[in-house]
Amino acid sequence: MKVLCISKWAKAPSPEERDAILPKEVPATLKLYLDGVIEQMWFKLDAPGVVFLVNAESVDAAKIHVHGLPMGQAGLMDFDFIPVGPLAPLGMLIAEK
Amino acid sequence: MSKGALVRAAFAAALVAAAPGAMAQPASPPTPTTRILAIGTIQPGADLQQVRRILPGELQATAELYLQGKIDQWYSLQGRPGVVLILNVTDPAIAKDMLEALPLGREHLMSFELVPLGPLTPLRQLLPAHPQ
Repeated sequence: MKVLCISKWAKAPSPEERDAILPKEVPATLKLYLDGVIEQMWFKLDAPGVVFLVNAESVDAAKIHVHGLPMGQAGLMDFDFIPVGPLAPLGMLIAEK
Repeated sequence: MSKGALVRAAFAAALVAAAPGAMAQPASPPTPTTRILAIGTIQPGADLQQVRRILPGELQATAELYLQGKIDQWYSLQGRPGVVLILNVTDPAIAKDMLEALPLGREHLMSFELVPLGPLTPLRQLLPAHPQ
């Protein structure tokens, strides 16, 4: 399944915390992409953060992946998890034929 | 400058400061908005029979937006009615007008949360300071 993961700050990091953790966060994120876990990734521009579309067996599996990133491990970043699937109403286009 | 813009600027400054060799680099350009994430949910208390009656028209209008290139990706929410759209739109006001003009939006049966998206700026940290 696919899970849309929208980040939110669990605890606003201090500038020192942020500077210490970002150099670890970025490579760890890229690794999840290269492993095929993160299918798509964007920067969130309304409030700074990220949006990932994650391939996972379940929402819980997606949680384990993104909570395992350094900012999640440090208790700084949490996510909203929104499971998504194919746009089901498109089925109406073939059901009536 | 709005509070949000200040926070973004501070965050961008932190990202630049975190990049090795960043001091010798010109300031990073601002992150462009390239897509808008739209999460559409049925309004609480909406008449679900009315929603079902409108759904074929909603599908047709949504498919038209896709065919016009305005919708990049579309998904159904799982476990509850609703959609997730990735729009080929960069102005939230235009996205709002476009989605509220859909049949369910016109009847105030569906509302959308909009999130502007851009390229994952922090990846810049991994680029060499002086491209070959």
